[in-house]
Amino acid sequence: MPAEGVDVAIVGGGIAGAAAAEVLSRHGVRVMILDENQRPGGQYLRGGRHARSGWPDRVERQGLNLIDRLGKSPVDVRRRTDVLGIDAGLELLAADARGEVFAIKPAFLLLATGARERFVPFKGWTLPGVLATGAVQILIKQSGILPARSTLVAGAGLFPTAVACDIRKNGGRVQAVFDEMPLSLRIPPPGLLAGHFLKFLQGGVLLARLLRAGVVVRNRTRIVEARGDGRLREVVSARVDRCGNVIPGSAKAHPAECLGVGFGFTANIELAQLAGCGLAFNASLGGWVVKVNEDLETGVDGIWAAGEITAVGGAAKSLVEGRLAGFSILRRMGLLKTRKAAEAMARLKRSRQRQLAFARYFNAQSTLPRERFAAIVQSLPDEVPVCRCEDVTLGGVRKAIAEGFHTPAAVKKATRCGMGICQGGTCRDILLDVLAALTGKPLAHIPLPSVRMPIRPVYLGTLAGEVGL
Amino acid sequence: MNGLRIKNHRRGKRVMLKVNGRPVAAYSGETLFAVLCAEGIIALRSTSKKSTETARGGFCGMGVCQECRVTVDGLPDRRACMTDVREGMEIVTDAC
Repeated sequence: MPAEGVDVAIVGGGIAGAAAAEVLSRHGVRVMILDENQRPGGQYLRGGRHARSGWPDRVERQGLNLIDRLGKSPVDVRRRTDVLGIDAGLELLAADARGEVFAIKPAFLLLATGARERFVPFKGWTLPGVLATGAVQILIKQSGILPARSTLVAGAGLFPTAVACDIRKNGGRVQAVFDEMPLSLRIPPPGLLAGHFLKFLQGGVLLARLLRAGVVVRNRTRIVEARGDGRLREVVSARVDRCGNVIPGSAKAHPAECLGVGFGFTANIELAQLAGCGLAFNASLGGWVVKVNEDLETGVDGIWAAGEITAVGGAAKSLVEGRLAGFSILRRMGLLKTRKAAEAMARLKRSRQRQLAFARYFNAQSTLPRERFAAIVQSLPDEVPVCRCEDVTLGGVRKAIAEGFHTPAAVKKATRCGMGICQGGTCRDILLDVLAALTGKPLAHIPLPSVRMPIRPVYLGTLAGEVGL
Repeated sequence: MNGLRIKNHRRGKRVMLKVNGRPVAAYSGETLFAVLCAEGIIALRSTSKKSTETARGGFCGMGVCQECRVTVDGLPDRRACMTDVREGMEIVTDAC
């Protein structure tokens, strides 16, 4: 199959990818964006101008304007396109909406593949009606549809609270917000507060509005079970102590139509991993991330990374890193010669450090220490599913670990955990957390499961036909 | 039927779909997953596996988990969360 040539290919049309594309395109570089969604803008701008946050958010406004300009620019945006793999020569294999496979051979590559949500399993978490908090927000922002008349929100970190606010603002009822972690974690260090004053003010106002509306917001509270008959009917919560153990007698049942759960985010590093880019584990950056230098170059020559995959940190960081990556690629191409551009790069680097400081605070809100996760795992019954696709239960994983399978690859071989159609998209981090909890090893010492092409599901017939296997 | 549609959301034009043979009204710009939610169709398929609970519905909402697979215009395993509705679309859920 002949590969189509382009100066720069960008995987991911979210804020980071779009910001880089604009910088490059303005300097006459031929850019192609490969994006899996119906429209560019990533998760943050899903729904575009139909669904503003209702808060005068500068980053949101800048992002929306950026996506508008992208549509009028010469950047070649391939929508609904899944990137399936990459070979050593930077050649990308992708599939369009019809499943047609094609190859792209860029001179330089930027990975801006974003992040997905993390979860901590509980009994009944596969019941229809139990949704990721991200799914709840996407329903509201993109489609203008509430998941249910009344929603219970739970998990850890800042995002569930933000989603609860979205529900209320759009006329839905929030039954309660439960957070696993203690409230004291929310208090920002003074330096961070000063540097991100508006962001914290916004968070404070949103929380105050929730409380004033009578929404129950509880920390150190966990969902221990979701019950139902083919769909969610009831949720059981319980209070937990400082170490994460359920306080006896604190269990409480709540009738529920919809439960939104989320425990922070994890970077979509699979394509970078396949490309051989160096990876690093850093809990305060969101777990496993792509290693980059201050110019956002990865360990593989010709590949840059920007946005959530270098550190989970939100849209403002993605905007800064997208621009920085754009300039950095321009410089490599010999197209960045003015002093003004060099100064812009220096400014972006300083701005990036500020955003990384916020990222550390953000991730701390949803990072469960290993001991806490161990307490949770200990409290979960064997029948709790870990891998939703292959129906691998916690009991199965426990047995495999007890038999000496101490890496994700080994557990996968023993149980099929992570071998299903989502290819570990949902259970990879759960398995890593369970392994750390049950073996006592630090997360950083547990090797990631390997990834293979195609990294996204594709009909084998299509792939075989096109590649000529 | 419109109970879960948010009032001030700017909607596209009205389209008609068929869900399991039944006519359903929706608006362009909505995802299939959202429309099914609005219709109260939460269980979208049953796993081929034999765990205690086999009913599954949309979960991640962003194309990762693959739980919201339905048949669209005869094509199996389309993710409802990644599919925008279109006039005349026919959807079959493998309801439980």
